[in-house]
Amino acid sequence: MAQSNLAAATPPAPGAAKAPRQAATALKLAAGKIGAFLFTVFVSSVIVFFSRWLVPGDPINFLLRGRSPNPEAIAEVTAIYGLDRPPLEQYWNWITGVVQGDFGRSLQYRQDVTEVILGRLPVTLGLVVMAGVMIAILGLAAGIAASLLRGTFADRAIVASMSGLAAIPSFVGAIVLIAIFAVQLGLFPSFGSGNGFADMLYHLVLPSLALALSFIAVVGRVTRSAMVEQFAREHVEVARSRGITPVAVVIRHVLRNATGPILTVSGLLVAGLLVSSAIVEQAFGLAGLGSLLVSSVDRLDFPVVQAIVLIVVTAFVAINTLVDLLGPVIDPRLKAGEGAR
Amino acid sequence: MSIQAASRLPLKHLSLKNRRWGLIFSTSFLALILLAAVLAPLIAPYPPATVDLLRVNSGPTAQHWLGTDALGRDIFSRMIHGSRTALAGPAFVVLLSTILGLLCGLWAGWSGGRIDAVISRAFDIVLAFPALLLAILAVALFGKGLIAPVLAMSIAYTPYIGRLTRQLVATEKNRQYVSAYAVQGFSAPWIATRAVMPNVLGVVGSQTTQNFGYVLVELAALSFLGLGIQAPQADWGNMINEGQSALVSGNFLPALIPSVAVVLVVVAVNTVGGWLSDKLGDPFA
Repeated sequence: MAQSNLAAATPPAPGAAKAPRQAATALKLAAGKIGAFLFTVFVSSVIVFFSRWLVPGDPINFLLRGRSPNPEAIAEVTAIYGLDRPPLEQYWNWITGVVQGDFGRSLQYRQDVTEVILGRLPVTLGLVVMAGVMIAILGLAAGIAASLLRGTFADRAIVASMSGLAAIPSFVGAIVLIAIFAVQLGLFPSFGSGNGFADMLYHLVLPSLALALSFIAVVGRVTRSAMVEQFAREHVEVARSRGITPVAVVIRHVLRNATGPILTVSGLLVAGLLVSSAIVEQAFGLAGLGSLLVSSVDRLDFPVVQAIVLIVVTAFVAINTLVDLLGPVIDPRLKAGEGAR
Repeated sequence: MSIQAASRLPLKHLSLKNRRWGLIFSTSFLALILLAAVLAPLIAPYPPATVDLLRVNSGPTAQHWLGTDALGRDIFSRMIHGSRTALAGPAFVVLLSTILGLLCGLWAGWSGGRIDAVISRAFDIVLAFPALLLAILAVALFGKGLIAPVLAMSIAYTPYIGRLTRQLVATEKNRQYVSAYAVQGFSAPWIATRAVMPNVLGVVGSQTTQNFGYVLVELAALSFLGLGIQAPQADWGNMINEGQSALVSGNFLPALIPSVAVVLVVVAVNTVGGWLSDKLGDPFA
């Protein structure tokens, strides 16, 4: 990645060939990022698969921990994992399956891992999407409001409360929200994900908020500082003096120029949501991917653990790559060859 | 760089605002917790695991200052004993990851070229695993407890120290004093470890302090999930987990007290870390 940054920093060649060359560099940059993504995911899959070899002893004993090692079970596990094959062939069989959406069989549910995961996906997706919406709306609103009121008491109050929020880990947020809104006020359920779509949304309000709290603070802070920085710029002053309405100045000149840092942080946050959702799902008794991961560790169901770890890592890296690729599209100043702003 | 762990972000600017009083409060609070951890068996009024089924879920009383939990165990005593793992876990992670990160970063930054590229790529790959996820994978492999997660988290945090060190060393390397030493005939390893390293340590130290807060939260989360320190032993994370049942029946203290403790320690640590980075300079902040 260091090289690609260097390539981006080289000054543009003068003359007519500028535009096509720029497009070519941009394409090369994008290809490099996608290549790095594929490489990272590939190495991660190797790590996830071969991590089992770090445990000393017979792999059959490891996979059958806590279960009766009767001959049928041993034969089944050997067949599923191809344990009689050489390691590289085992990896090849696993990864070709994974690419086709086959993660092997769960030892605890005696089902295909993919089936188990798909059953858990709606709750986690609902949770992450809902938290994402809360973060976007509340975080942006708080940040924009603070930047508009910069220097006033209200601004300081928003900044201070965001510092407080940022200090709250998701398990603490969950505890406090359950205590206030579920136990004291009885407004929301504190357990399970309900039946049907509307009921699920209702059940997910508190968990999503618990998940979103600290992230709202981060987005709010980044939005505020990016906007305040833009407000101090000359182009904003020029826009104002041209008689453009204040609302248009804020939206077209300030907010638009502040999207870069906000987008970068958001990408990192979505990835963080995936991991923190395990904690929130546990706290609210939700049957999602995260609680599946925890119960699979608990019940020594390693195939499921492997699958979820690989999925989360892939999603994590994919989102970061996507943000990296989207940056220049949204903020043309980041485009290759255009140099500093 | 494309990948940074999102878990790092929420705490970044988190510290008490009024520096002087904040710092005094934070350091004395941390000193108090440290003292409690060291002297736990001497100052805890009750053994942490003593069950008293006649006094279950009692609120604060003269005998039990912070009340008792669902099994009638004294919360104050459990908090004091729990502070041991709460501090020792992150301390080990921070120590190990700092040593590893300093070594890898120094090697990468000093050598440059292919070694630098390989180490930097390895950092990228480790960063693809969120620390908590790596810790969970370690638990799945080696079983519950503190050792496997602490080792996994040490690896997960190495790239943060490593990248910082690499960047600092790479710039220090071109300073004049380095060539001055080289001209005088000092060997490269001597210059790297004895002359450059001390100039790097300050900034790395403030980063290390901030890592302590993240690790504390993540290890507490792990035992909240039931995958860290196991049940009879007192730990803030699993106290929150166990306190959840009392929470639903309206007794908030068993879950709330350890929650508040985690938040306070993290804020205190970050206040000290923020002061350190002001003092020592943070070129990349």
